Amino acid sequence: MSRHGQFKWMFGIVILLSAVAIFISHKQWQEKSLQREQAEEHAKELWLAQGSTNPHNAAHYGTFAFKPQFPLSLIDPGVEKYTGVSVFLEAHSRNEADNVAAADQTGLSRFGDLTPDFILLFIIPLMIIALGHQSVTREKEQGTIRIIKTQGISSKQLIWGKWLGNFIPIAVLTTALFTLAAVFIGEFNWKLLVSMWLIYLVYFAIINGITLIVSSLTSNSGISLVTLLAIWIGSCLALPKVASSYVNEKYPYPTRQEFESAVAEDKRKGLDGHDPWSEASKLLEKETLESYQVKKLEDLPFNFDAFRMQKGEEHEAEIYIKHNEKLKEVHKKQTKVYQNLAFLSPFLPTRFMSMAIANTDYATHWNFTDVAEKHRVEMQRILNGNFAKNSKLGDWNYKADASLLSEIPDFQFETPAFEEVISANMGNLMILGAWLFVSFGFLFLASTRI
Amino acid sequence: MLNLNIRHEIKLLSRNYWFISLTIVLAALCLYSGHNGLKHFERRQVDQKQAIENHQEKEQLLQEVALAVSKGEEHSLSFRLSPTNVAIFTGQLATMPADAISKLAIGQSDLYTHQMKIAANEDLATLSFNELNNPVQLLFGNFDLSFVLAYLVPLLIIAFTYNLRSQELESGRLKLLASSPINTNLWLLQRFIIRFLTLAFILLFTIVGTIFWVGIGISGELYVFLLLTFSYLAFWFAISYLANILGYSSARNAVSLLSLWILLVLIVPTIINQAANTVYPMPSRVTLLNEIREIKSELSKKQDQVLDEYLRNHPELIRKEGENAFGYWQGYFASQEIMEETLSPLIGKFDLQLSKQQKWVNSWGFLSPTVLFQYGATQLAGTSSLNYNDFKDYIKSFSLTWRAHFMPFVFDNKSLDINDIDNLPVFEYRKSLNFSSVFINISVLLIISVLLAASGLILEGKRQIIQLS
Repeated sequence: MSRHGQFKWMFGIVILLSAVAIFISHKQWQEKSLQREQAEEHAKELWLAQGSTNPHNAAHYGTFAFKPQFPLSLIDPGVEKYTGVSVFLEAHSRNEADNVAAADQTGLSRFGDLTPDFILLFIIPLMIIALGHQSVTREKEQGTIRIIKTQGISSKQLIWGKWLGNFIPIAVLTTALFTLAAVFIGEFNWKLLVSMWLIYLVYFAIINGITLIVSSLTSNSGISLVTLLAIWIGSCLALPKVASSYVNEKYPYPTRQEFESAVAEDKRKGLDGHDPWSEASKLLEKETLESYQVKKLEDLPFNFDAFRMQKGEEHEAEIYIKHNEKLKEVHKKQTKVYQNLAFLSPFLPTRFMSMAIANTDYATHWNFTDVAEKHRVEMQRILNGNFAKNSKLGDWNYKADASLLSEIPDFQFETPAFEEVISANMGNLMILGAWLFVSFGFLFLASTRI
Repeated sequence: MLNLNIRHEIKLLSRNYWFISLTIVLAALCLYSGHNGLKHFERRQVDQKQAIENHQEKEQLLQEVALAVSKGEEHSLSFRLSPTNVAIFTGQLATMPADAISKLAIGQSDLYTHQMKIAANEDLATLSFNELNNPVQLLFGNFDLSFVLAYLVPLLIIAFTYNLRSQELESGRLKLLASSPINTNLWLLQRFIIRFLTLAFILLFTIVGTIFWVGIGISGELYVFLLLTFSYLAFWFAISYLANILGYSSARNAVSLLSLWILLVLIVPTIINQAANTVYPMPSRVTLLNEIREIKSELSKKQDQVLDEYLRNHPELIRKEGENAFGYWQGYFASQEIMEETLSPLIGKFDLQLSKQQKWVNSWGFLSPTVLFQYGATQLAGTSSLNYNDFKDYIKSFSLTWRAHFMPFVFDNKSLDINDIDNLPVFEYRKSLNFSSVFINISVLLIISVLLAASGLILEGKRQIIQLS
């Protein structure tokens, strides 16, 4: 094979593309990482620079939660391009993650980026097909299959030999690509990198199996190639798009406008921390007076304005949870469809597993926005608590000591542990395993038919 | 000979199981993708209608209140007539209506929003135009007609035509024909033309069928879309013709045509895109966030100066002497304007970088016919990033109009009356269509196709000379 001109060319091109992809991704990754670190520090400085201020003013001033860049996003940026990277944390509202990179790019960005995952998911499978489609058909066409058989080599041995012969260079290439990426990344979790590498090897093993099955069952190289390419286009290009269109039709997300007005509607019905005249406020007033057994709000041991604001905050947080849960329900249904379709294409489970391991999948993003929301609620609790404890009713000019600002903990976003990622993606893993198993099974059957 | 040839070819095709099944596949793909485009369009319509209705309800309420107040009645909601309340809480609705032709190319319409509430307190620097969506869907893209035409139909063309000449050679029929008293080159050329025309006819039939089925009225844009589509397909016809003429084996033709497809459809666009991002990197949005806050807090520290400066720029808002003691909102709007002026060079950097990227893509896009097609198609459909940039610009300029409209009320501390409510500024988006850039794409595609086909013909002519000598 090494003497085959086509093979050398292909190998050369793929290695060049991979090197370029890793190099560029690394450069962009470093830049983004630096920007985010700086922004985080800067945001903290600005937050603290408020000095002695009214806690509720500080709450409105707010701060940002930035999504960290994870090491393996260098190999697979997943959906990062389409999700926001920063959440504005302020009083009264849960903001969506903002600053979507794709919105700052030309329409060409929808064709995809030259990143390592593009090469792993699309180009290497093509290479496997190009290398393997004729491995059996050519023996048939040239009649060498009879000579091989006279040498006492069984069909089974022949097929598995071909399988290995085809797979080893690909495995070497993949390993080289991952090693190169690892060198560039520097610091990362070995478990994650190795499992990602294994996932791709399994993916390639499946494709290699399918290639050899088709090559054994067809009589000429042309038909074998066309069939394999049709399978490749169907499973890597068409099916994901079909899935996304189908999901969009069957379980659509509400528009941002709908979502926001539904939240606003619910908020309007409930307690507004700033509105002492609403029914909900009056009710809260009555209940609080009763439970503290005092007659006037002034007699309460805390500032009722701040207390009402905290109650309003809690109520609003619940509304956000409710609506986001609804959204998550839709998301779950959508994911289910993707998973069901994964039985039709080994591309889908690989795509999802790879993103999940790189922490660049949608679940990680949900997780990030949830943690940011928790942080926001906690921030409000501390600020309102200080306000209620240290001031009197109607005392909106109260200024808390500057140290209050540093009581707010730093925003921390930890990725789930390796075991959690794997268990959350058990479905995809099983489907990928099933694909491997079935491809080997069919390959065995095909070997009996040469 | 032509007649015989046509009849022969049609008989061949009609008895070719492969040909018929591929035609059915093509029809199914077109119809299914048309269906997806239609559903996407319908949902966009429904969402927009809902948003408009919601907004109308708000406006109606406002009118009721204004009417009651004008009659001198007390109304519990009369505070809604205050200029800041109308400008911020009622706001105005900006919509980007969908064109029927957008059923053909979903483009960027799944990424951006088509309806937006304009409120006077929104900072233009941080407006978000993104639609709520599952990012996995954005990653995978949509199965719409433009995808089928850009990615799949070229493959069908290759599958139909890669071996037209080589098959004759390989089956030995060409030698047989050469011994008969006909011009084999002319015979072959006729076969090509017949095969291409049949295919082109089937494509036209299915595409036009799909277009009618999803319900798109005839318009100039539709004709240009068809022209663009066929110029793009002409490229693939021409390249396949050339591959045939070069005269390698069927297998080699198939491999080289498919490699070309992979290169032009899959790899070149991603390289151009990556290069655009690398050569003209976007400044950091997260850095911008902090810069905005810094400017804001500086401005709030020198609130009095801000108002003075603002009034110097807007002398029309200065009221009688001694009455210029303004409150919170006047200060708010004054610092908002000054903040936006301070920020505009920063924001300008983003727009500049994006337009540079766009230029880069436009000039390098010629390396891939698929990019040319996709760009033209989404532009015609009104779903290209250029259309959305237009929409953003409309929103930004309308926001300024909207704010400016309320400033006299804010500085007069005057509530709106029924007349004022009826005369609020209204947002209108007009799709601007840059036909010239689409025509450039079409011309480039046609020129490349003609060049390819012509070089094929010249090669063919040369071969004849060699054969004769």
